[in-house]
Amino acid sequence: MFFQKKWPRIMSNNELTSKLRNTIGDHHPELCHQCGKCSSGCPSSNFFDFRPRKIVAMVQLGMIEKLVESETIWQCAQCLACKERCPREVAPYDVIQALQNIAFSQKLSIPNGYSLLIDSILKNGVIQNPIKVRAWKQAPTKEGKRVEFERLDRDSLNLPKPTRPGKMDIFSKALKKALKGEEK
Amino acid sequence: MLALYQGCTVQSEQYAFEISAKETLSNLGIQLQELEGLSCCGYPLKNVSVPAWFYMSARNLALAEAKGVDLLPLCNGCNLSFREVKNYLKEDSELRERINSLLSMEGLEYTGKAKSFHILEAFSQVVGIEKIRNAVKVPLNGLKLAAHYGCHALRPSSIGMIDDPENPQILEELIRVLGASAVDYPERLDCCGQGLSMTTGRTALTISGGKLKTIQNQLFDGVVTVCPFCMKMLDSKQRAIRVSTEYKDVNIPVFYYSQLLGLAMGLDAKQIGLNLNQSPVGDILKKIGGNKK
Repeated sequence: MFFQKKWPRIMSNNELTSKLRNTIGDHHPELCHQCGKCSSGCPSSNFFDFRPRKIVAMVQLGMIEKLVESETIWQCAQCLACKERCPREVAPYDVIQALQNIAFSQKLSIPNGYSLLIDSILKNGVIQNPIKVRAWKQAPTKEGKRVEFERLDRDSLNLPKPTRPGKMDIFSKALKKALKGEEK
Repeated sequence: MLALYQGCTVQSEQYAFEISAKETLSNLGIQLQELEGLSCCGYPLKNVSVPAWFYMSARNLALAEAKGVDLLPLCNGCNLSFREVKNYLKEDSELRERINSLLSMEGLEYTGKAKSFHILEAFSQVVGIEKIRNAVKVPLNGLKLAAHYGCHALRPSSIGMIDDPENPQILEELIRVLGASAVDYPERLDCCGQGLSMTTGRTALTISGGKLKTIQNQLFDGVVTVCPFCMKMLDSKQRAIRVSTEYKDVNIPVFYYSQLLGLAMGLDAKQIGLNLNQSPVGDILKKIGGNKK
């Protein structure tokens, strides 16, 4: 649902498997013995057909192409409970992160939000510029009596100007290189 | 010396954390350094590009290193990001060279000297529990508070996080020293759901709503957190939770720890940015003797 339009895949399944192995992270899918501790503590598993154990099993079976093209890998809440609790140090979260990185590098569909984040960081150095926020004039209570609000920003709160990269052009250039995996 | 690192969310909307952290730390005698040229920590991009994440975290750490300071990020995610990247770059010299070739474009170099402190470490280790105890002017007696650490304060423990990942006590200890009670509850370490906001907003709200509802059912007076993303979900989204999820009666005060500390130190509501909280914080103010200003 949240996908951008589909692009043709560039690499074969075997190439993808070796790419997964070489993507930075603590992941060791080969060590998994399918105990299921990861899925049982996963907040996303209550809402989606999302099971870290199943994703690791699919990686063991070499089904990388199916995974990187699926919406499933983007349903992770990034809570890291699976990585923390795995008795075999498989780090299912890192497996998922590596699969997501591959999907991006192969120009496959990724959630739209990421393009917006990347655009904002390349332009401003941060994911969002300061906004005006709602502030109350009388403290709100549970009884829900109507309270008066005002809109405040950094200036009206006497906060200093936020810091940004001094040379935005160099920052963006370096970041673009990193995003393309050309940092060598 | 510590330099404040706001992070994207705090510098752009969660102003109360910046206001209350600065105010309480300076009242406790901690002088924070200003650091120029900082950017996003890179954590939001780790799912699409690990190299981009490494570059951005290492760059901020290199800026701190150049000024001889350590970073105090006001965000669980930023702190995790710096610690994780430091860990990877320490172990892999080839990776460090690759990142340094990007940093050299700006004349920066990462060697790993600068550390990253979590705000709870700043309060418990840099300031110290005893100093906080002595600074309490308005004890928060009678308040029963639920500690919400946020996932990224504790996991993954393999790289050395702030406390035991399955039974942390540091936040509870810091709450109790203010006179309030902080008891265990089964959902204490559960995720706020924010990580799902980008893909499925309603699921994120449902996870937050579920946690708030269960806290409310256990008759807590309020929730205390130290992460701007958790705060955004638990404090600022209660109305959205009531409107769009099954949790129609979620309505409970939520604070940053630094705000709670400020209240106990006798600071005014506006000095700790309490007027920016969206949850019914007036209930707590009434319980501890009213809003003075």
